[in-house]
Amino acid sequence: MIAMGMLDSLWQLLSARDQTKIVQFWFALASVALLLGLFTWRSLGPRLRELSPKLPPNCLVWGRRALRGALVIAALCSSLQYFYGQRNDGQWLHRWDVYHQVFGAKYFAELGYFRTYECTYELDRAHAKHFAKVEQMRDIRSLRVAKVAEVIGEPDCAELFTPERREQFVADIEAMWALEGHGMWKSLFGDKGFNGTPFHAWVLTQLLRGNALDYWSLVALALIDVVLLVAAFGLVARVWDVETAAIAGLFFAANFPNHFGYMGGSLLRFDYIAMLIFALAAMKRERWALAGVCVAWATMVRAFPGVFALGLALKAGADLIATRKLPREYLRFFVAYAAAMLIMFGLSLTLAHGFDHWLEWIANIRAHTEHTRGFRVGFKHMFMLDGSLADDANFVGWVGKTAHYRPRAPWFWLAVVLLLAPLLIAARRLDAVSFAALFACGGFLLLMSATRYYYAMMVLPILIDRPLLRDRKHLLMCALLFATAAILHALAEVNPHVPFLYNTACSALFTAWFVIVGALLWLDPELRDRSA
Amino acid sequence: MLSWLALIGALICLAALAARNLGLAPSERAFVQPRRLDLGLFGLALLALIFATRPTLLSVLALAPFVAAIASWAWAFGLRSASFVALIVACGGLAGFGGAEPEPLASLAIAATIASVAAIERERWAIAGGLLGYATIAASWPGLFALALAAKLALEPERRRDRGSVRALASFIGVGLVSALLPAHGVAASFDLAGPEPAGARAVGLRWLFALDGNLDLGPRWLDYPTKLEHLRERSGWLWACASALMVPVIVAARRLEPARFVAIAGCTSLLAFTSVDAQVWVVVCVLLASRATLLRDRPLTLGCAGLLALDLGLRSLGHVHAQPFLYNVGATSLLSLLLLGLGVVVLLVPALADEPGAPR
Repeated sequence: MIAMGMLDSLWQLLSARDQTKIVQFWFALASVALLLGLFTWRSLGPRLRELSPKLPPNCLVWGRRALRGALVIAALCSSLQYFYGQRNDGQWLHRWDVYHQVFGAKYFAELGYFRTYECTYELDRAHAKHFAKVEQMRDIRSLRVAKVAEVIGEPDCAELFTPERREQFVADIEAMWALEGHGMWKSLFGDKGFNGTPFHAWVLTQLLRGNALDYWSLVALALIDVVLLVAAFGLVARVWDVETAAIAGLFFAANFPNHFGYMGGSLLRFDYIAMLIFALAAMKRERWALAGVCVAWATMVRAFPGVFALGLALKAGADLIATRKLPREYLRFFVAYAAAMLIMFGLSLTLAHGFDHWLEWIANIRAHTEHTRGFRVGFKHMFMLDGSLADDANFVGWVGKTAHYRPRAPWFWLAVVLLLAPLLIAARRLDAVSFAALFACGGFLLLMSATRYYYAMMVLPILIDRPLLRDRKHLLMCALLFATAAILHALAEVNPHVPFLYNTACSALFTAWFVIVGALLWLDPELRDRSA
Repeated sequence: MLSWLALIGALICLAALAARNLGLAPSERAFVQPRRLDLGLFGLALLALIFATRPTLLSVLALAPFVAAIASWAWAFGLRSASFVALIVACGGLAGFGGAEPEPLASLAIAATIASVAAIERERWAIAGGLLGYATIAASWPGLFALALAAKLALEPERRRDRGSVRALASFIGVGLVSALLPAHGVAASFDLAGPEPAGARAVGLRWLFALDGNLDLGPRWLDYPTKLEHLRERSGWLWACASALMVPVIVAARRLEPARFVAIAGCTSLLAFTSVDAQVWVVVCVLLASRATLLRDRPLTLGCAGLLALDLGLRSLGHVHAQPFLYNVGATSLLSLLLLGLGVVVLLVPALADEPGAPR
């Protein structure tokens, strides 16, 4: 009875949406304490070896098993909180993003990137008029928010569809409306549309083919992300060890900008990070071609994971320059990467407008990334600290921030070079898995200004090729990562101003972490625990 | 060659800054306020009276403590290290740390602390104790460096045997008592979370990262300092936990580190962790270069130097877009926290802060 009561209390705590910050704060803090404890344990190595004859037999073995068990239980609880407790709204399905993914991909041929909102409103107006109360809408091409009538202009959406497709479109609007969440539409039409690559649209189109848009069908599709992530961390357990997988899972859940509610419960939002983890595991097992295919998938669905391949290319280049020979593994990786990219690119060309979709995507992303936004994180924000950072009064707007940044761009690039220098200098000394993981994370942080949820990338440094529980440098690096998570969760309680949390605090903390890692690399390019 | 060039560069900076001061109107000159100059030593007080009507000479006189401190640093750690200390002092101290306006009240205490670390390196315990004794009475915060010295001496029985610790203690108490009898208007450090000034716009200390509520710049939703202090009282447990955690690496490394290095790191870390001081006091961070290793050849030392220069550069850059209080309460504190946290990580991993055996060069 007591046990049932405790389990019930635990379930209440882990499943409550409003407890996310406090629960993940404590998971992060406990992880910091654990990692520092393990660091202390490793540091006392010689003295422990003196003591060990006096310890009961198998004491250390049972101790390790207990630690493993505790970590697995903690990771499972944290994952429960992450995948369910951090759900987006009253129901698990992320209706907002599902709309974007479904309508953006399924009607990609007719609507492209720029007409999703306009045609949803227009065709609904001719039928059920669900969105009659929506007064403003974003013109996705210009990103300007204006009155609905101004954005729609002359109604011409019906002509874009064949009669069957138009009928299906209207039916899908009804299906979305039936998922409840009616209040979201006013804000939804102010979002920025579907931004996936044409290949991502092709994949979603295949997934949605023949699938009804009812709640449980969509949940089944949304569970693909969960399955992918569980598989990824399961593979980490197999290729690294259970403890590393548990710690990586704990960080994935506690990582502040990686809140599940932002993208979880939607369709194929986490495939890129799962693929990068698969790639690292494949590289560790010397399956380089498979790694290339996984990175190709991640690149083709999101573009920015190409930084992983860039890192490996730099490492290969360093080895080539030093030895005048390209190691076979890199050749296998890049041949597989290029071949997979070509195949995926070819598949995306089967969409209605072929290559034009890619041109449209480039134009969309260019407009999308011209200015930063409140949810973005990246080192670049350290060069856009003008105005009030934690208040809307005197806040420099996004256009203003871009204007302030432009004359400072040379300093930004100089700083990027200096911050990446220790890692680049270590390219020859570091193993490929570690270098790729660190460069993917560091390059992403320094070179890009990405939306918060893509900072799931910060889990990659935990998967460097070091025995986590035995390497003190790795233990400290991971402890510092968890510390960033704890600090951000605490800060969010104190100052919930969104641009301050992401543009400033997140960016500054991740940059600080990378600076410390750079210092460690400068001192020892092999990043090995020399006390062992 | 490099050392000489750096030293010449530092001297040029010092001269330029003195000339800049001369070019200012008398009311704007930071050094030319005889009434405010804290010349705790009787001899200098006399000189101030004599030259009260000659502000130019007084400006030059005010440089003397720093020049003496730099000279003592060269004596202890070599010319190359002294050159970089001189650069940091010139850029940070006289020009104002990160752009902070220099306060002559803190100058002597800072210079004395820097010189005391040099004296520790040379095992001149009486001199070190005396300098710290004066500085502690003048400005309170150097007491942390004195505590670090006491802790280090307590850990080393051979120092007790050769009476080094006795000499240090005796001179600390002696000079401290004498200084206490003279007028002293040093910049006080606030050890008490709920204490009085400095809790203002130029304050730097770890506690200000626990008071990030509301607007961080002056304006709507800006929380005044009494309200911030109220928040700090509520969060004092976390603050003390983090402050203590920041001290752990240097405490763990107490035996491994050389005395001067230990005092420098422990002093600076505790200064950030447990106090709130005026921004200009942080010129003292240059003591983190306390090492006999060859700068630019020894990696940990070179990294430390790069960190210090990056710190000042970062703060000056931030000063172009933000004024106080954000610049110091948040900006300077954050950068110093990163520097000292990074140093703590390195201290934990790299025994004695020397190049790791087996690490490729």
